[in-house]
Formats: sequence, C-alpha cells, structure tokens
Amino acid sequence: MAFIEPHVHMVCRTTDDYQRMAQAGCLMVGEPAFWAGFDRSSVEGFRDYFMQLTEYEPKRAAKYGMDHYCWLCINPKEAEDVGFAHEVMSLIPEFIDRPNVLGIGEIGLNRNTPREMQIFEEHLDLAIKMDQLVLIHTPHLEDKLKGTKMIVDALKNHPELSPERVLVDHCEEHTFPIVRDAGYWAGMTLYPTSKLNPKRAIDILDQYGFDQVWVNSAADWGVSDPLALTVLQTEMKKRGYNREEIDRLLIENPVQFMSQSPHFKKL
Amino acid sequence: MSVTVWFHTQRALDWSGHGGMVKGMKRSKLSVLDADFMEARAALLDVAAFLDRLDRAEGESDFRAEAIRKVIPLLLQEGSSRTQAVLKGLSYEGVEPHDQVLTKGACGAPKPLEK
Repeated sequence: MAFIEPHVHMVCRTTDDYQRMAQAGCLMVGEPAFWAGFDRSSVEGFRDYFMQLTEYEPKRAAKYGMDHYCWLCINPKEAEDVGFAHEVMSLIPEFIDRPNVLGIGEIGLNRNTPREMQIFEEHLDLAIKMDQLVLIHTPHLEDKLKGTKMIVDALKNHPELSPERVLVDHCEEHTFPIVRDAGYWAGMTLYPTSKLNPKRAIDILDQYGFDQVWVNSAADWGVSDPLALTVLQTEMKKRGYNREEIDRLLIENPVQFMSQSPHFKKL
Repeated sequence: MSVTVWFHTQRALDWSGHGGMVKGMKRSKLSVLDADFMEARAALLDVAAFLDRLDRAEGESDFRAEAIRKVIPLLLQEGSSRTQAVLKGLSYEGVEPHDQVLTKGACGAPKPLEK
C-alpha cells in the first residue's frame, strides 16, 4: 500500500531505510530540521545541515523514486543560547526559496523555558514575514501537556497565522483535543515506547475523525521505526477501515497540508 | 438506486458529522476483547513485575515510582478517558514556563521543583 511519511529525519537513517521504505510503498518524505543529538558548535554547522536537507537528501531520496521535502529552523533544544539561535535563524532566508523547502519547522518547545518560548515566537514572526507554513514540535512526556498549552496560547497571539497553515505535531490523547479545538492541524507520532502506538492512534481517530490530522514515524537516530506507518495500515485494516479511508489519512491529508506551499509538487 | 449512487450515499453518511468517519467506534466489546485482551494482560503483568522488581531493589527510590503508583488507581475509573487521565497525572500542570531546567531530556514524570 502507498503512503507518505511526512515527518522523518532521514539524515539519521541508512540508505537501506530509503530502500525498505520505497519497497513498502512510501511515495514521499518530509524532513523537519531538528536536534542532532548534540549541540552544534557553530552557525556553519547549521549551514552544512541546511545544505544537507536541501541538496543531498533529495538526491538520496530520488534514487528510490521518492520526493524529499524539508522544513528549516533551529530546534528548541538548541534555543537556550538566544544569541546563537538568532545567528542560525539569520541563515533561513538564504535557504527558504530552495525547491524542496515547505516552511518553518519543527519549531516549538522542549522543556518549556522562557528562552525556548522567545525563539519559538520569533520563528512564528519569521514565518509570517516570509508567508511560510509552520510545523511545530510539542515537548516530550511530562512536558507535553504544559508545552502544548503554551504553544497554542502563543499561536493565538499571532492571528496573522491562519490555523490551517499550522500543524502541531506529536499529539497524544491529552493534547490532541487542545490542538484540534483551536483549529490547527494535529500530528500523531508512532514510537515504540514514548508517544503513541498504532492502536492508540486509531483510538484517537475513532473519536475525533480524520479532518486536519496526519500521522508519522518521526524516525530519527533514536529507537524508532521508519516503517511504522505500514504497521498502522495493517492495524487500520484489522479495525475495519477500508482502502480509501487509509489513503485519506496517509496520502490525501499530508498532501492537503503540504500542498499549501508553492514548492510542493503533485504526486 | 444504482450501485454507484448507493456507494456515494453511504460514503457521504460515513463521512458526515464528527469531522469524518466514526467507523472504528462501532466494534463490539467482544471483538475488542478478542483483539486486545492478551496484549493488555501482558502489559498489566509488565507493570506488576516492574513494581515487584523495584521493591526487591536496594537503595532509595525517587519521584518516578511515586508517580506510577499515583496513576494506577485511575485505571479503575469509569468512562473512556483513562488514557487522558493517566497522561495528565504524569504531566506538569499549568502554563507557566519552567525556570529550573537541569537536563535537555524529559524522564516521563513531573519532578518536584526545588524551592
């Protein structure tokens, strides 16, 4: 079955993963900028990373017939040094018009600190100024509930951002309604231990429906599975969803959100 | 009514209201038990074994053990929002930013803030 993986960190994955994803039916990948697992020591490290996202990864993906899109930002884990964050953000205009860039992301919060919030709001201002889509990371585990509320409050203070152009990712049972009730797109992430598993994700879909939602693996350098969406497909079939319904969730919805960017090409 | 018209009518009904389809909600309790009971049983035993292992271990425990014990009774509450309740029980409250941050990583339970 075909699917789109709208949030995956392919810079961390082997070429074998590209091959397995393509063989499993992956049509396209979306890759937000994120934390490398360590703090980068210079702005030039980010320049290299943005070049990797906009030049090298699209070529790797193309070898397996997949389009590769990306999002640019400095992630919240490296936002505590505000001066450094500003230097990295000053690189974004240089890359934002590259053909595979869909917008600003994944911005957001990590431990919900005042400095993270400052840089998050400055990214929102940048997205408004450059008329870009926004992809938001919500914090992990015990920080997710508070962080999601803080993020939604901050978004409401930026009415220039249309809710349908903002996706708040990594929602779980306690945060999904907060995001959807505020009118934003909600993302759900399938992880082996933290975040959601396929059954819980489908439970949420059962209750809230399929409007303005996408699902992803967010596979990265940690314990994660770039084929998680294939497990979800199987579970959806077992739960009685048909092919059209699965396609709506795993293809039409991500296309609907991402195609708001002029850089997005038709499948 | 032609087959095509019937199909599209059913689709419209499926997709009406509640922001989309609600098909999965129509499963019987027995079908849920058949599909998921053994997995839930195993998960419950994992929690029991974890608590036993923790009790047998030496030294001091910390706030994470207390957090787990605090949310376990929520499994017996009525209604269908136990998952939300457990997640909220393992979360920081409020919307004020944290001033005390010692690590980049979360640990799964709210750490009591130092005064």
